[in-house]
Amino acid sequence: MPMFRIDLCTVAYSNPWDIPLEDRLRALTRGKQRIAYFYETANNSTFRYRAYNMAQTLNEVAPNDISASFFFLADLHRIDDIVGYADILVVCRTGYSHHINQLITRFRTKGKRVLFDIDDLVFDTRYAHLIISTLDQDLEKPKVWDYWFSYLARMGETLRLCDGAITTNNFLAQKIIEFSGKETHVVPNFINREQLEISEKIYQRKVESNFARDERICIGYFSGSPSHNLDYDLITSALVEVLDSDPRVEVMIAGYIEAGPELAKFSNRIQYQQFRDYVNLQLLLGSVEFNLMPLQLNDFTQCKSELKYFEAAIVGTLSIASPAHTYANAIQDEVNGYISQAHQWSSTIRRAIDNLAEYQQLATNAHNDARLRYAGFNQHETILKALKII
Amino acid sequence: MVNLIHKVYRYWRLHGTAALWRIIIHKLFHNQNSFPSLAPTQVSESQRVPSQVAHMLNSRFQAITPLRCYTLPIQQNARINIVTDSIAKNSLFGGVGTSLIFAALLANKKQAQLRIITRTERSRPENVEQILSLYGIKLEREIQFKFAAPSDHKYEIDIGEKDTFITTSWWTTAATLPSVPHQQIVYLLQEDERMFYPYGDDRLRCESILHNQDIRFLINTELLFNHLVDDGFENIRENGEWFEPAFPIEIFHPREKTPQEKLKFFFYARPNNLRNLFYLGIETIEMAISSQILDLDKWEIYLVGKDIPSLTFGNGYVPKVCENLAWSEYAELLGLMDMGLSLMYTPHPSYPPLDLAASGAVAVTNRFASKRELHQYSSNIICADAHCHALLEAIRIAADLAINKDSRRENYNKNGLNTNWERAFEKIINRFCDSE
Repeated sequence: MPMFRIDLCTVAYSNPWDIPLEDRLRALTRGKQRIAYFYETANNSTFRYRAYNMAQTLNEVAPNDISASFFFLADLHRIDDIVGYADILVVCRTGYSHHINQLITRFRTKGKRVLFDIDDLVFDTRYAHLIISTLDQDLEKPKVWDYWFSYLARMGETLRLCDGAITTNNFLAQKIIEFSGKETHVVPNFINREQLEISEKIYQRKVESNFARDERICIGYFSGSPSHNLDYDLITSALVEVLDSDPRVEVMIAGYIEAGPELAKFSNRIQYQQFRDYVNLQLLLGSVEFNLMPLQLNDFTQCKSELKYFEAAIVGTLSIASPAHTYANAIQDEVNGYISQAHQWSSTIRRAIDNLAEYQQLATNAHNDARLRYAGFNQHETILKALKII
Repeated sequence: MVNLIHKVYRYWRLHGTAALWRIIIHKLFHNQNSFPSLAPTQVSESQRVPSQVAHMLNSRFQAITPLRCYTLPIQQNARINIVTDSIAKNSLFGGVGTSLIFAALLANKKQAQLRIITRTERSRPENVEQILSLYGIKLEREIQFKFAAPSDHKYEIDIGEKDTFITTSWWTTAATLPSVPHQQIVYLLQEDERMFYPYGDDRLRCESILHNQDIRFLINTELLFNHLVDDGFENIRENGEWFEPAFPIEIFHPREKTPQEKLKFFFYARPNNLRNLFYLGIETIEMAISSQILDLDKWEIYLVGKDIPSLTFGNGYVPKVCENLAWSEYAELLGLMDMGLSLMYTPHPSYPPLDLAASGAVAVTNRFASKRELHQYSSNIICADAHCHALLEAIRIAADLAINKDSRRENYNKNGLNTNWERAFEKIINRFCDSE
């Protein structure tokens, strides 16, 4: 279903963080100031953004006397080495346990700083009900309550053990400060080298072809988790209206969401794409005209980062987003994307379609903005300030 | 097949997975052909099972099932909530549209978010955009939509001390009272809702809500406010305010017509809304035609409203029927009218006569209780007692006025109607903000 003519094949993907422990320890010891990032186990989401990407940027871009690495729960049999080599520990979104307490205690005993990195409002049990409701979980199940109260409390306790915090945006930073009183710095999510490499290829293909498209207009909704049902509900009636009024429009749904019965009559214009790795996802993002970012707004969702915007922007795809805190800061309407209030999705999508003549200019703006503000090679100073190294 | 899928999906959303599985298993083993309706079904005498009183009351008065709310421990921003049945296109005329405009202006003034809570059907956000953009109102903060169906046991509404709830009927007020602190409730009352009912349980419950001492009331028109106060609602005098609705010139104004066009007569036709006196209206029109007050060589007749039956006047004249109009289409049509008949068997002037006068037409409406004359709005509104001959005479006077362009225009230019919603609500909104 190519809309933009990119002509790039999927790349063979393997997790770039699958590195033996010895190699990761060696990476840590390279510099004079050493930062150890800790996450329970590697994954494609929080770990990638808050540990892997950070370490990659510090190792590749920061001054040579800085080095960083990442470690997991399974590595704690080498806790002596980690504690011995590292100067700063950043515990990323990990709930309290005896392992975590022991790890932090070891660092504090040596007078070394420990910071807590958190990318969601998931440390304060006062928000448990709001979170469960927002994620459309089954409120009738006691296990759901048990899970979330436990999860939030454990995160909160880890935060309390640390000297300070790092997070993805100012709104969430304020919540952390209100909860813990800890000094908090912002390091936004950003694009790592692997993601940037393929994204630039995709973008260059678009530029070389002058953003050549076929006659279809594809609107994409990319859902990274099943918790987005209520967000998707925001745009359902708008998608129906747009599909009904414009035969050129098609919808791509990628990830965990079902289109829903309202769109059943347009099934021949709806394509489903399975969840895929974050590198090849860029190909999919690059193929659509518009990336929809609806978000039901409350204190929990307002803490979300703008990664959906820059992942699309870096491949020259325009986003249409709810006016959430980070989205509204990232996107200027009709400059590098579009902002839509919840009652205006239909008209905003139609406005964006009517403005296709300006697409290339806006997409260029978006790409350049993503590169400037969210590419890894521009983040090292921000990271070092958050670590209080500079 | 699509309908079945939709029914299954809707059932699952309302009742959950376990209930859905029970139904599916029941169908498989009992070989029934249709999916259960959500509405109560008829049963034979032999199948009747005695109902518990609580169940019977819940079923009979489902609309007042309390909102399912939970309290937020921390609330960042203020929020204005509207609780209404629906914001479907055909629901937005009149009262619901007014509540939306008020809530939007209040939300902007308080730098609050707006949340629309509907009870009978899911919101179509595009309808909100249509109304707000028509009236030039831009929401400064994001809007939320919540569907809170009385039969749904799963939805939840988060509330905090910075929430204000604007209810739009006695039943939405009744549903809100159990779950929201009363000082946070404002009942936007736009009719004497007791008059929707014969004397019975519904009327009694309605009256009980109207007598509530704890909530604030916002009454549509001074006429209605005085009527309620005169009828003994001291609580409304103490805790209520009134406003006069607005008819912005950008929306309601005379439209250009060609000289060859026939004169246009508007009748507000809603046979299923009994207070609109549909049958009195068509009887009067029939008499007006047969007595040549409405000469069909000169006049075209438009029936505008809802559920309009197919009918003919006189010797087979088929009127033009207009239903399901968007608000902008309705305003366009009104601008073409020369005269209209709009009846309301309640103390509120109702919007159509005011819409007509604002659009340059001459309107005939009925008197009721303290609603004697409406000259304060426009001298192009003629009131008469609610019977054929009185209305017929009023139509005769109105017709003469309609074709007297100078007098009609002079009256229009001197209209006393509000033309700006911000001005209409300014003092009330300022008082709301000052009191919090």
